[in-house]
Amino acid sequence: MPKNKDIKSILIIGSGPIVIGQACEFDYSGSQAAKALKKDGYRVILVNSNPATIMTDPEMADATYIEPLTLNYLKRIIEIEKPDAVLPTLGGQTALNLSMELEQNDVLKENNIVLLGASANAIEIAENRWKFKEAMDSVGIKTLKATYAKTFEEGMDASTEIGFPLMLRPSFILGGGGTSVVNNEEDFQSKLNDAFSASPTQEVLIEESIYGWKEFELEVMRDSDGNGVIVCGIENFDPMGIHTGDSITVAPIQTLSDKEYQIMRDEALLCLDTIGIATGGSNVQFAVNPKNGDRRIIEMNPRVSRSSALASKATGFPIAKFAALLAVGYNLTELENDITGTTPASFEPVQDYVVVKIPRFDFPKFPSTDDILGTSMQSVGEVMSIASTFTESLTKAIRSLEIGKSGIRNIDNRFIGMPKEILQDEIRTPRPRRIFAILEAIRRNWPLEDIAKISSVDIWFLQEIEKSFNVDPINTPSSVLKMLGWTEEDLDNKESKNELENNRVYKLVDTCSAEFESKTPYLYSTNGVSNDDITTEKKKVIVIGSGPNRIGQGIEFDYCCVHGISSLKENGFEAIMINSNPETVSTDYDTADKLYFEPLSWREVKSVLNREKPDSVIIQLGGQTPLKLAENISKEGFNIAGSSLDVIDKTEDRDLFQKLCLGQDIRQPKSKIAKNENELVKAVKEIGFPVLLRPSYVLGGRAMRVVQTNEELENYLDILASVDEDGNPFKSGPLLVDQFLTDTIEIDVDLISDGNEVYIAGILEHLEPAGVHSGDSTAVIPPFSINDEILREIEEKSKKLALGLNVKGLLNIQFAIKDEELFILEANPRASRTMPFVAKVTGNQIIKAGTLLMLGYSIEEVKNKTKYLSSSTDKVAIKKAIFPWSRFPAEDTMLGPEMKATGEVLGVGKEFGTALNKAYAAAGVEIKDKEKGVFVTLSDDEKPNFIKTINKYLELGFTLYATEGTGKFLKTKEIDSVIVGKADDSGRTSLTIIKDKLVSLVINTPTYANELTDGWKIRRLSHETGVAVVSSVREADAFIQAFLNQNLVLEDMEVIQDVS
Amino acid sequence: MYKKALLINQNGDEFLGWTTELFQPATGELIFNTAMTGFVEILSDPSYINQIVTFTSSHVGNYGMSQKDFESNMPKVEAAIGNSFTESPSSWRSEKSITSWLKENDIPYSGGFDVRNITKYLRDNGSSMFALGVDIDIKDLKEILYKAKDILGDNSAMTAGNQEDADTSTDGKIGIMDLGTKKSIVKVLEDHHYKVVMITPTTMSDEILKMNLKGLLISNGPGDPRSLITVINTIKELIGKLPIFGICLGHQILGLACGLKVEKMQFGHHGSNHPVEIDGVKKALITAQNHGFSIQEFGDSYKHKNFGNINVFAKNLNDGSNEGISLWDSMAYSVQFHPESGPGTTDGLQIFNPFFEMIENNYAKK
Repeated sequence: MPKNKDIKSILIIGSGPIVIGQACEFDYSGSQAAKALKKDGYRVILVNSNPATIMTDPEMADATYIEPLTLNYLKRIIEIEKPDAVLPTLGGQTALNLSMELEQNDVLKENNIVLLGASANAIEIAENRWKFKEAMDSVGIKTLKATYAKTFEEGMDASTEIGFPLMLRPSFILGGGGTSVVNNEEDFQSKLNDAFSASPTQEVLIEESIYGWKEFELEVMRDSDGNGVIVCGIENFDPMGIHTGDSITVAPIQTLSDKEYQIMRDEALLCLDTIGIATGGSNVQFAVNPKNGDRRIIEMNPRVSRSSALASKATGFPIAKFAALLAVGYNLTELENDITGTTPASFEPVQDYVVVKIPRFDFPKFPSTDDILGTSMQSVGEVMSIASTFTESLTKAIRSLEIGKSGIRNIDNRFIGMPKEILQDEIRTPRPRRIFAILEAIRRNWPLEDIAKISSVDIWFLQEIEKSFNVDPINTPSSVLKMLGWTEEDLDNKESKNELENNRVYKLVDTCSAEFESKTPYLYSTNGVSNDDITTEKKKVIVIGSGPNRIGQGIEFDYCCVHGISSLKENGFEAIMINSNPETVSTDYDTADKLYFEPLSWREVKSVLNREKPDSVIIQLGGQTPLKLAENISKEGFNIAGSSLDVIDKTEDRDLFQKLCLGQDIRQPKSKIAKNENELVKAVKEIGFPVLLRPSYVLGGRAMRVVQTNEELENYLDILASVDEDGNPFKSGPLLVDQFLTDTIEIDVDLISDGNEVYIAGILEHLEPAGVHSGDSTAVIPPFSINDEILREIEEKSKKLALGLNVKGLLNIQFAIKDEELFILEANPRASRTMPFVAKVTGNQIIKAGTLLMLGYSIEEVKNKTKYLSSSTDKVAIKKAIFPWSRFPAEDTMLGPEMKATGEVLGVGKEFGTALNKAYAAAGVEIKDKEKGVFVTLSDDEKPNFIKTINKYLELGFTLYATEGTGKFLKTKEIDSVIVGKADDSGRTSLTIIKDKLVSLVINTPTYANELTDGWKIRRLSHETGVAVVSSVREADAFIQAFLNQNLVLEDMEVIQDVS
Repeated sequence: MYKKALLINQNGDEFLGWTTELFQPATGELIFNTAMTGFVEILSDPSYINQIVTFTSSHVGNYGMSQKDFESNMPKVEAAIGNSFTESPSSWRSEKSITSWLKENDIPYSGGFDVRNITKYLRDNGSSMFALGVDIDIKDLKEILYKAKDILGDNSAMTAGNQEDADTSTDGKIGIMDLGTKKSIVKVLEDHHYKVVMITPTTMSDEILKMNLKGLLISNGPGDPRSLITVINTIKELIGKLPIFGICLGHQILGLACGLKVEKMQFGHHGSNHPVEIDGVKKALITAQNHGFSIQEFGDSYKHKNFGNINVFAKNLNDGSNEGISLWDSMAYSVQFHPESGPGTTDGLQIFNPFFEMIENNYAKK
């Protein structure tokens, strides 16, 4: 069917900030879709609240709104743009939910807008558990047997009908608590009683238990003619019961026979037909009983998903792009397979390699959370690897994780020598480290049947791993060793190392196992004898990516890499990308001229460098990951683009940095380095509490703490020791000890320099007080509270530092202002987390410009030859951080020096208050929703500081609520307030006023603790109900402006294309 | 201990694999199959006689062997090579490993090959005869290769069928011209409640007409269709006299019987993911394919002096090659792909329907 000509403009809804479960894969899918539709002549209107996305770059769409993703804002955008259609299936669950809201509020009907891809009815069936079950039952696809019971008798009946084992889930328990598996009738009665009493609604879901069944996913594409193809089948290494986002997964499916696979394929296609998914990409999940092949459909996502991104990268099939084109009426037979360039898209990709995905976790940042994996996703990123066998691929995936492990034979020291019972427990309990426990058990030659039984991992995987441990390296050909996942690190002598390395060849991900010639240079290394080669004569530049997302190094750095690549391509260089993260735009096969999907470990990078012999290697764009490789790259004789190794040393080495600052007359907080506990105690004594502690060479304030007492100091060392596999708090290097400046204003400066001239791209003022990590704080462009004199000093010192360091390329500097005095905190000679934000809101392409400076251009030349630095804006832009609290219900939402944010949103407006109001709205706090009330609960030392601010609220007519202590204090200042009870009291309490929407703001100065205090409960509840919490006078004052401008926000909207 | 598995052709090109088993050398046309499942089906499919199959899938045989997957009663390939063969499979269906099954039947196999290298070679140079030997001198292997029966002119199909079943009663059954029939084809017919009788390829047309068959299915099979002169003549004499449906080799035979040209392809189609467009069907079918010869292009339609219009009703979307011809005036049609699956998708099952309709209409008339 040809494309639909009635539709001329399409609104694409993005997925908003990066959160756990919804990360940059949706930037990848949104970008693909926008590009494809725009190219096809549609007017593309795009809305997303996340500035650090490629999809919100001006050239991706015709009209881009960086606005909060709420019903009100979408209504307004629809009013302005009058789109013909909305594409709801590419922005994750966020876009799907918003589209449903638009439908339910008749916005679509009133504006004559079609929903593309999936109808509201289809979405409803797919998303509603019971409707889905009913639909599947009607066509004979088996779903989980399940029923709700409200009485004990109903429960008993259900157990007879469903049979054991079964699962009891009390309704309305946060985070799935109280869930239990029951294996027999004796246990059932008592557990059923427990479940009833746990549920606040006296309701229990009784469900057939499939814990330990095998989990499979099929990525399906369908067009309006009914063409359906399975793009990729994915098998989970981890069994059912562990969220697929937290599971190690493998593609293609390894342990299903053709007969079983074909039935699953038929059911997946029938599922889409039945639900009424007209076109697009969907993900269908199945559970299979390993004992008899019994199969259940678990769920179906009527949209492009995280797995779709993985499937696209695993096969080379651009799911999101095609989903967009299918939605406007094309069919699969009309679309071309981009990778081969000759065959149609209506085929099913095949692989002659194995893809392994391993999630990456950040549990040490969430100390109150047990790291046991379950049905709620907790990982923050993932790596993907490609190689000729499962074991070789697993080894590469482990290397890609950047956790210091060289492969499957490099087992975590924690498990070596661990007593049998404990190791068994480590294998039984799904945790991020379980794979290493399994490897250790295999190394110890435990019977594989036992390991399979306690882990529910299919024995095939274990057998493949075992081959690697049982092989005799002397009498085994090196190519076989490499296939079995051996690496050079596993061999002793140089000769066999070389022999192993000689088996490394590069092959193409080509969708067809080489049946057809492929023109797309998307490569991976593996064991073999022949290379798939595509080379050019252009000047080559390699960009090293940022690897798996982690807190502190996320999508922002991928954004920078993609901009670097664009700059290279726009200026005649051949851009070559190396990265290991499947969620990203940088690993899309048509982003760079050539893509190497490889671990960012030195051996793999070295091998690519030696093969490509690039003119330059760019290490400034991918965060800390490429910086760690800088020395090796340089030693191997390759040219590092821009700032030399020396610049990295001078900024990372405390002594050298101190010297530099001293020489440039730039003040620093007092600082020391401690290599062991003695030095630490001494350093703390010299500097005096409070001190800021952190390990060197880390990003995102990992394990960073403000420490006030000796007791806290010891506690900090214990935590460091507990996350190290050898229990050594100093293992990853010395600790940095800094004087902690209180009551400061923090400033971020992003600049580029050619060595002679400096261009300051952005100065950002933080709203939160010092002590909150810069990645977690609210940042404002332009600065809003500092005077011109200090501003000039910031500019002047930034320039001095950049020139003093001889920076060529990018530099980020963090300053603190204390009592009108400027201190430098740190400098990073690379892309920063804030550069995408700066580039987006100023319209100046600083990363593109910076990339050229790295290659020897001068700022003058960049200005003359490109339009990268020609924008100006008079808007206020505010970036707010987004946190994964909902995934970690045990954590305190209080902020500190260790970064916890996973993403960010942007608010833009003509005025500060408008921008802040929007930033709040984008972060889930809709100020307008609530009563004019403010709740104040302050620590004793802070109470006096807030009087002025509180009076401002009273003048505006706010009702003042306070805790008893705070209320009493206010009374002494002649301020009346409504005193509320403690969290556990009856009657009106600090919690009920939040629940009842009586307040729009909580002013709370927290005491440093991570326990179940009232403060903890207040902060958590506020987060869950969308009430703002502030802890400083600055924030509380700013909130007033956001409040006052609430009626202006919908009028103050402009597309990003108009910034110039 | 690992031994070298050597794979050579007449041009002196060679590929190396590694195996721990010792086998007698084998020869055959080297082809590649890109399917990721269905190994037992492929290995036991008689169409693979006189072929060495290269599995491009990284792992072969992870889920083991089940007799339920047999397309005949034993492995029919001359040899199988790949990247990695699984010796200890994991599946509730598995009776034994593919490797021990192959060993029991003296079929050589070896992993450790760079399968992509082989695929690219075949893609660029065309498929040809190869010899596989383990721990063998290259000279000796070459000698064995010289003696091998070439795939061009190979008439193995005459004896590839299930001979034992040949002379049961025939009345009211569907006859299968048995050139090496896959069990899945029989199963589809039986699932539609038809009784089936196997017909040996040497059976003459008048004998077949006497059988009072409901219809005739010309089966898949190995080798060079052009060498099956008797079968082609027999079919020529049968066209128009009873409903005829041809699959794969059977398709080529029908084509040859109506005077169409059949040629050897560069490297053929072997896999489970080939898109086929059928006239009048909106949806493209994802099909399993296994053929090294194909009917040459003759335009969309051609009027035969005896059989009426011959139309191309199905095309391969990858390369435009012929996937189906119809002689509706003469109650005959055929497809190049495998609509019966085993291995492969069930997308093609609908292709049997016209055959069943013709049978019912034709039989009702009698």
